[in-house]
Amino acid sequence: MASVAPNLSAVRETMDVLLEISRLLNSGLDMESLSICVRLCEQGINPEALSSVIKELRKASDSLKDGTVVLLCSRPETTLNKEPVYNRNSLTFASYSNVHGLFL
Amino acid sequence: MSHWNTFERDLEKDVKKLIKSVSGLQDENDVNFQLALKFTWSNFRFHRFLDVNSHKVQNTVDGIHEKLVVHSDMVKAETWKRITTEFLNSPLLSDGKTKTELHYSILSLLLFLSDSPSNSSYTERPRLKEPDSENYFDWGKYLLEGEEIILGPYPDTPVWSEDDDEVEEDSEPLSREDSGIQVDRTPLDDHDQAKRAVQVSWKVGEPDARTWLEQHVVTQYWTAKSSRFSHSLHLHSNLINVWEQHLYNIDPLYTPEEKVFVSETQVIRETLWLLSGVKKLFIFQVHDGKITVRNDVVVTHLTNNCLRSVLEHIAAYGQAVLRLQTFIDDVTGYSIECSLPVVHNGAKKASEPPFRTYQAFVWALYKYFSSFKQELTNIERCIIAKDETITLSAVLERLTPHLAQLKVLHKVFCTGVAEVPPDTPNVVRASHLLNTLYKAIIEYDSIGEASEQAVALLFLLWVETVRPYLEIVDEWIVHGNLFDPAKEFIIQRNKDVPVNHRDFWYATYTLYSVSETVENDEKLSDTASGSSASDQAASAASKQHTMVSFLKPVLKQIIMAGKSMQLLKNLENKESTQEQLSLRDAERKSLYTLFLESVQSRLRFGEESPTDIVTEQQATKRSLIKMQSIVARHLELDDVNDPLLAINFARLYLEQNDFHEKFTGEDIVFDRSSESVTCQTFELTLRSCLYPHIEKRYFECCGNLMQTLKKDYRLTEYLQAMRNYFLLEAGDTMYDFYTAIFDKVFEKESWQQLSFLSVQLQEAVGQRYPEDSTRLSVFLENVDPSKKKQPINNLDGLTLSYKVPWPVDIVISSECQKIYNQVFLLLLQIKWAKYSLDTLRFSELSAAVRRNEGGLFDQESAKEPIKQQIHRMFLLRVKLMHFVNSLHNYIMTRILHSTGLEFQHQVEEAKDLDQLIKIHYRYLSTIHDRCLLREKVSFVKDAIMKVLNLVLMFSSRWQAGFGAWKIESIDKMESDFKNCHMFLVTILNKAVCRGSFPHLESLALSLMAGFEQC
Repeated sequence: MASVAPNLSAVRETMDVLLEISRLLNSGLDMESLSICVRLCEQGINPEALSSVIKELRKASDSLKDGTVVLLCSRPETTLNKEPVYNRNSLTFASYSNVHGLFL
Repeated sequence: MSHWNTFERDLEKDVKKLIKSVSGLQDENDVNFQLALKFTWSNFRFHRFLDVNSHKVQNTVDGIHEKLVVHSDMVKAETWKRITTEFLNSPLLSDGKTKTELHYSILSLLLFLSDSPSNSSYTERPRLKEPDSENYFDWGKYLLEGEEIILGPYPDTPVWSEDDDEVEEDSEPLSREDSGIQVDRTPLDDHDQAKRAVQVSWKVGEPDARTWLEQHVVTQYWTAKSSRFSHSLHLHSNLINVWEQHLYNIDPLYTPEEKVFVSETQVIRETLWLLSGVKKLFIFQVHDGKITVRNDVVVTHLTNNCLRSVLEHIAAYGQAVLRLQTFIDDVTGYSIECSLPVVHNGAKKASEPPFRTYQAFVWALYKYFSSFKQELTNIERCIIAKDETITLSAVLERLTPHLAQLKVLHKVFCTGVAEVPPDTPNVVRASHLLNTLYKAIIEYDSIGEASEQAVALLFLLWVETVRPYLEIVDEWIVHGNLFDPAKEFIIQRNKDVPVNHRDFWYATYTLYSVSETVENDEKLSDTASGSSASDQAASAASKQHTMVSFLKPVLKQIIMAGKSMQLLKNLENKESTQEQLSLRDAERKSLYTLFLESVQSRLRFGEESPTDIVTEQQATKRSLIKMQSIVARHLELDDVNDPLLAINFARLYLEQNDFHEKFTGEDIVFDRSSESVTCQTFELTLRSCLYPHIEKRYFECCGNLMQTLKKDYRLTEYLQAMRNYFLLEAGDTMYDFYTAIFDKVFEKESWQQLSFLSVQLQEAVGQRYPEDSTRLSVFLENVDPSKKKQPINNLDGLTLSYKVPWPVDIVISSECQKIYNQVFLLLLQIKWAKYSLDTLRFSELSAAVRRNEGGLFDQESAKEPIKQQIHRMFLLRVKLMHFVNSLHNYIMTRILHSTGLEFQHQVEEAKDLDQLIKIHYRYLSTIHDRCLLREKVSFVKDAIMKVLNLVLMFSSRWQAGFGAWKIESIDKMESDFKNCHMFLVTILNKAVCRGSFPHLESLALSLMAGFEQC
């Protein structure tokens, strides 16, 4: 444990620097989400995909809060590769009040 | 893909965290959350983005620097340059490597997410590095020491938090002992606020007052930034800190969350409040009728997860309490807010009559809750007194029986009330609730000792809930008035049928049979007449618990008694005075009271024998009673050798000591401490406590009604009159009537004139039964002429009608009169045949012969055949007479008379009106059958009719005189008769041999005798 320890504090320091970068770039990530992102990237998630997901999630949750909500289309479409492809371009949440039934 | 599988779980967790943190959706079962999860996964797995290119990223970083320089934002540009370099040169993972692919990945992610960095204002925040490294060493030592020497407080232990200094500042004026232990991650900017809150809280400048307040006032843990409370520095009280430190040490990316520290006492008190139905709480929160536990609440001696699992367990009970409480408020009309779906069910407009079954149920629930709350209050009082140590687990332990009961209650409530769809009619809801309780009792009862408390509770609930039903039944079977404004009883009155209507008995009430499986009511337009009611009961038994189960065994009695009572009331109204009735009513005990008294006495009953013997030996009372009771039980139940049962009985009776003390009198109070009413045999209890009362009442009502009908409304006399006229029991009277008709036919005059028939009937009846002459009338129905081919059918269409006054017409309906008329017609036909044979005179034929002698046939040879022919005529006549007389005898004596006697006997014994109606119908169908009028045996009847026809033809030829017909016709008649006779004898013999129609034996024998002589 003692050998790992200096690294730990160094990593923590790096995270602080990273937070600064994040703030400077105005990316809107806080420490918690930043560390989640680091973990995800560490596990091999493509950063570009991750960034698009984050953007879409933000958009969707904003519209959910606004109450202007349309049904989300994320049904898999079968392509020639037989690989389920979701509509990755947009994500919209359904609010309970209007379109709950459509999910059934 | 195998790579994915290895990290699948970790990744999944992180992805969920990401969604929670970015979108703010907390509930993983949320549809939107699932949607987002799917979306995220599909994006992560199937995308067309290129891998990160470090050169490209470096280029972009440089580009941004350049851009910032172009914007002449030199400070920012310099900072950017510096921190990116610093970042790339510092390790991101614990392996210590720099400028890895991960660095560039993260950087590129941030670049993708960046939102016009040049436009936003940015100031670099100073980063603190030093305390971290120091902290590490201190904590390591701290923990190691904690492992080795289990010792008390560690006052010098520094805190690992960055905000350590500020925290200490805050707590100093409060003379905290825990400084350095608490982890407070309050961001810098929030600190002023925290300070302010503290200052406000402690404005009471005097030190004494402050001390007093510290001791007596609860810390405002519910406010956003509360001050911390004092607690021990012992390791055990700081488990959470140790745990947090551990997490912090093993995971560099660990970010501690905001936490609110509470003490266990506060948690206990909130738990108690939650269970007593308080909605505005801090630790537990109500969202849309759902109780959730706050995420950020911690106690210092437990980890977050541990506390959470305990609290979630409690929250489930809190949820049950809340739902029940809402239901109670809703039914009582107390609450304004409607949050549960149940509320819609019970929500009533003021104009609607109260739904008494729910009200009773709520009353029972309320009673339970008041005792439960009393227990909660006791615990809280203990906490306030601080005389003993009270822990959360101790409280839960103490509440265990209550919580188990709460669970049972909630289960019953869910199935019995909450799951019923909103637009269900009251009758279905009421019976569903009662059924649910009933089933639950039986279910728990079968478990035995383990669920004693549950059974006791459910029994109380049931007894209370069933009250409106029993009151409705009581009102109905005592006053004949089905008072049920909310339409909750399974039987409902059809408003459009007046009591003094002929159809009253059949069409007045509708029995709602509630099918559990389909959950909708079938309106059996049955009319609840006795026969059909029992049919329904049978069909109901096939579906399980179709209607209110507990009433099923006595349903028929209730219906009978109720209808009888209403009818009786209507009959009596004219005679007895209202005052007498009300006087009688005042002394009467209601069915519910009687039921409760019986339950009470039943529970007391078994106790007497053991207690008599052991009153003196108080010390060993309990065990001795058990022994005694075991012995007693063993003696009583010779065949049932079950010691467990015996013990149960013993305890049951013992524990009910105080039960029935509180149970007596009008105001029945169930004491909770004594609720060990283990109704070992719940159905037996019902059978002995409830059913006898209903049955007694049923016998009274129906007996009264029968008495009234027989005595005041001369039912038996009317039945006798029916037999007199339709079945020709008043032989002389009817003889006058029908011979007049036969004579008319004989004289070839038209008898089919209503005036003639009426006069004949009036004359005949008026002489002997003057009172019936007005009621009895004769009618001629138009009969299809094609059917009148045979002379015997000449009489078709002649019907009698007897005007039966209400209420006797319930028994003697017009349908009955139709059957009577069918028999009447058959009898007339037989009588006619008999009459026409009887009135033939030998002299007529001899005279004809004599005439012939002097005339045409004077030869000797011709004389012989004529005499022979006349002899044959005589013989045929006698044979026919034998046949007709046998038939006549069979019908009049063997069938009508004996069946009539049986019927009279049964009428005497009939217990209720329904039975009487049934008896009457059975009687009618029996004579209908036995007179061979049934479709199935129509071939026999046809043969008989043929013979009767033959008789009529024979008699008309006889009367026409000898010579008016040819000798061949005699041959034909003889052979026809022989054929029919043989046929009948064969058929009847077969039937008799089979033994299925014993009554036919005499007819078969007499016919056979006639046949053999031929």
